Amino acid sequence: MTFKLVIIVLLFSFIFVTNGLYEDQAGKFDWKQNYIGEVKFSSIDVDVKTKRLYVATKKNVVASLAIDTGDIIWRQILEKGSDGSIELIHPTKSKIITLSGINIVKIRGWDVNDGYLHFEWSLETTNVLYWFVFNGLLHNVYSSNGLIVVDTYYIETGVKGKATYTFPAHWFNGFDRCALSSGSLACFDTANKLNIGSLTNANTQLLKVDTNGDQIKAIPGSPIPAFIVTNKNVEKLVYTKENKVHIRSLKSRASLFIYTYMADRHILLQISSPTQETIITEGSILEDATVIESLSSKETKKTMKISNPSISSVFCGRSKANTVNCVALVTTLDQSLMLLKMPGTIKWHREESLTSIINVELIDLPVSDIEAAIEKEFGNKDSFLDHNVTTGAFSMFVHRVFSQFQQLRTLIATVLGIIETPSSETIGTKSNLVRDQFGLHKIIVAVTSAGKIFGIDNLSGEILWSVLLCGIGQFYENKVDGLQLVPMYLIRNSKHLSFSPMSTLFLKNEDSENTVLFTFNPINGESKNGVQQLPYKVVQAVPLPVLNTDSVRSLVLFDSTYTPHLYPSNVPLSSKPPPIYIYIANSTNGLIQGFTVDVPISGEKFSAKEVWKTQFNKPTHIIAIGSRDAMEHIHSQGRVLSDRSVLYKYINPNMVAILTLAPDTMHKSVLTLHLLDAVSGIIIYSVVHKRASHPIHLVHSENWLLCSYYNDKTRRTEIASYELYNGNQQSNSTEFSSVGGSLIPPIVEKQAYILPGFLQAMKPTITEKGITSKHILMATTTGHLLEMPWSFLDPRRPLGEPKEEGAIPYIPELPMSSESMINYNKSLMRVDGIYTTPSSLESTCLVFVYGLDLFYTRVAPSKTFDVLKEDFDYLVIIIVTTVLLISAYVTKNLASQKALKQAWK
Amino acid sequence: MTSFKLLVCLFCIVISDFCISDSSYDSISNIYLEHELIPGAGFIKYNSIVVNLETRNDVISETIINDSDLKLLKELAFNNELYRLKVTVKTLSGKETSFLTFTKACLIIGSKFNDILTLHLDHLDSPFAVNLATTFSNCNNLHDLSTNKFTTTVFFRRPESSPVPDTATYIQKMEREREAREKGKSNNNKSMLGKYWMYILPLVIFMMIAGASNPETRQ
Repeated sequence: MTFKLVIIVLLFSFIFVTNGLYEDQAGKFDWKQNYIGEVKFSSIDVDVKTKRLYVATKKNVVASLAIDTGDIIWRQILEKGSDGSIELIHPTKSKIITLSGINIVKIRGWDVNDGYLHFEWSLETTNVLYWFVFNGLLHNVYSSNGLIVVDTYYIETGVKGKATYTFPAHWFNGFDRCALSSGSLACFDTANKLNIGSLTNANTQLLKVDTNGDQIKAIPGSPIPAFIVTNKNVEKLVYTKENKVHIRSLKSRASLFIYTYMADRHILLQISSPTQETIITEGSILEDATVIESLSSKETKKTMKISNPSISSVFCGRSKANTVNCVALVTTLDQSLMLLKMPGTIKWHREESLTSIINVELIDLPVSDIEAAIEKEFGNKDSFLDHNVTTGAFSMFVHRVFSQFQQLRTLIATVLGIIETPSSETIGTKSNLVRDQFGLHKIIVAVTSAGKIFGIDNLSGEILWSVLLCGIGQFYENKVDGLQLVPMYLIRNSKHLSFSPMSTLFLKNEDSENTVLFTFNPINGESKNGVQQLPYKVVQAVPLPVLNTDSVRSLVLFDSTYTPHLYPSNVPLSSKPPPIYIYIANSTNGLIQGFTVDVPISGEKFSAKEVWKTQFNKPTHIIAIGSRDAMEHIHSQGRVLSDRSVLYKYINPNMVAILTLAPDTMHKSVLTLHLLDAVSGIIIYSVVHKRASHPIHLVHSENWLLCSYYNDKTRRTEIASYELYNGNQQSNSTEFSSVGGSLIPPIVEKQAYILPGFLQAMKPTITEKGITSKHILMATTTGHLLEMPWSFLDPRRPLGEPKEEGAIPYIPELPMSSESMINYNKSLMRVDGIYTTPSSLESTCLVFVYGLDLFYTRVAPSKTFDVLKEDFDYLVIIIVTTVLLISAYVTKNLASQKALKQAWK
Repeated sequence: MTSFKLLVCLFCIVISDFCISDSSYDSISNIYLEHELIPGAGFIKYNSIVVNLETRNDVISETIINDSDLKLLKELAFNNELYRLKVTVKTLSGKETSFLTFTKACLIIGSKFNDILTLHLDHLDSPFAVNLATTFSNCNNLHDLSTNKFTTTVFFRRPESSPVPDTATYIQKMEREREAREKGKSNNNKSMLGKYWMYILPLVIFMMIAGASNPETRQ
């Protein structure tokens, strides 16, 4: 008996370890891009041989980049959140020293060549005001007992230095009125006069500066104490040198940088960008304001979009022609990073805002012109509503001749080599942005928290276009977790031949809470009159089931007073939509309301009626709402049991899963999963998870749900799996209706599994027809992207003898085999989300993972059953078929001859 | 003796106090029902139900609705409008929470005023949602209505508790298997080939056939 079981287990283990990748397939269908995040501090290596620069970013990353290309040489990722936020970097000859953390501060030294950790020491401290390094000593400025205390430490060893200075508390009066630059503290006093005092020796006197101001900013990375003082929009540069204060007025608003050129000579660099395409640099000697001609330039580049550039670090040298040359690392408001060579050009450019994608969508490309012509010719009114197909015999004939002439022309052109075939290297150009046969080529539209939208080619990872949202609007913020939200709706897809696709973003007005709609073409990023200011705040937007006469899927927008509006307004609909039901959930006060809206065909004047309302009790927050993917199809309506009966799935298209989290006195926190019918407001099922805490992930697909959480009691990640069945009878079988539907609640199968690891994101695969089995993609904190078959998470896995065919016996721990890690050796750190979308091939699902790194791949959960393998031998099959045909023909002749001969005998 | 009585008394008071403070975790005391008979005209109160959650998990309440309301309800059903019900739940501490639910008006008539109200309670026994359903879900025979008695059954539903990874049973199963294996070992100490030849032989044959039919291995 046991042997049988072992055999079964062995057999199953053979079945499932087939997800691996051959070595030569690596990088064929997938790509990965490494990023570092928005740069906070940087330093350019003075050593000319190594040609490197070192950066510390807001994503808690320390990295080294090559000066010539901008490629990452090494990258180290520190702790997540405030525990790992880098407060200071200090480059030495062989090490990069970083200081990270807020209360427990860790000082680490990284090797400049390979990023290995050389040393680490930590320090517990509170009320820290500033950190700075002076003469190789780390200075910790903190307030204590009404004094400002400065402690010193040897930066490599952590040994406390002899010197400890104290200063009167009135020196510091708030971070908004003070700034620290190169060991000197500058503050406005009560009369708005500036005082500067050095914190690097015990008995310094405050230097009184005869200037007024309302804002002060330190110039980052300045070798001498230098500040920008703003007084009623007039900027002045204040710096001290040899205990004397100098004031220099600034003409234009620009970002400044001071570089020590010679012993007592400093270069003042200024950079500004009056328009998005131009970048202006100015260089002068700080002391006598002599303009350095070689560093002053004005450049215009059409392809670039630069907003608010600022210099992060500079390296200057003297060229052979005895002019000063500099390279400057420039960061911009939209978090891009570039290396500017002065005089000269932008050497390279990195889009670091791609580390903070907040919404992403993969959008189908439009069909090519030739195919569009064919579609037009054979298209009927049902599938293509947007163009008027002429039905007259003559016009159809003209159509046919015209399109065939076009096809012939393209064919000749291809044969003569005038037009390159689409498979050539020029992916990304306009002519190649067309749909391929299998729907594998799409465009990734990503909105980043820096306010930039990107269009990325999914096959190559190349950025095709980018749009800056500054000046258009900001993002709304989720009140529960403080994350930025930007709803995006594809209101017209690429299937309409005579119209270009349209996507709409919901942004917040910069001055009020009202909504701004930004509509653009997701294929090329173009937007014609795309900005629309609404006089209200949108709380919910729902697409209608019918299109309007412009082939746009109209949206019903709910404002904060629950009044519905139609967008785009004033365009009548193509047909009368059925009454639609909309729900609005308020995550902070736990209120969910259901409304019904009857939109008239004209799209004008309609109202909403509240039909149901649920109210969670006060400290309960709604943390996630999981609805099934709108594109999802369920192929199989039931599950065949071992006794040949069918267990019907409970498939309710209106069901959404709601996760609420409430603090609890006994169980710390209680996570509740409610299944709600969003039309009728009926709670189908609710289940309580005690002592569950973040990270929490929810997956809702087909008739099952997965909820992963951290169990505080057992200290591990658990995945609760739920599956809903109707039983042996299919209720609601003829026509599904949520209103007045069946009273009988579905049968809920439940089971819990242990995941040996911590999840960052979880998402099910999705295919076009839903025939392919489902796999769950899980991104773990160790950097793996795990492809787990759903059958492992099936709540019906039997604990005893297997009752159903193909059922895997229950094992509490989920397997994490290395074959199922689809990102093989390309670790994915800090994953924010996974996006899956179907291709036109039933077997294949496209996957895009975003976070600190971007990763794109495709998965085939049931293997590529509809695609021939790449190593398929076409030649052999042709030879075999021809040989068979010929031999059949020959033998047929021979046989007839033989029959004839026999007949004569 | 008296001191003992006093002690018992004190004990009783403490216990009862404790019990009350525990059970009166803001338990539900009353449910008020209001329905809307003219679309958009507002809600009219028609029933109030007293609830004691400690004793029963379902309550049946009957009420008579007057003829004018019946007429309005019929009209609502003939126009295929929605019947909206506002449910206000009052707790012992006096806190009121109102919920809204609906169904088709014709279903109310079709089920002869037999409706089921499900009150969903969270893990602390406080309500968060109310659902309305009818005993029959047909909209036919709206005419032969013989009653004006409204029968409302109130059910209370609490959330289930989550599944936990069943490690204990699994470990037991593994233990049993291990024991069985050890037992099997002590019983017959024939060689592995001698014991499992019936499994190995077909496997070998199968592999031989597979190897012979695979051209790559021959090369």
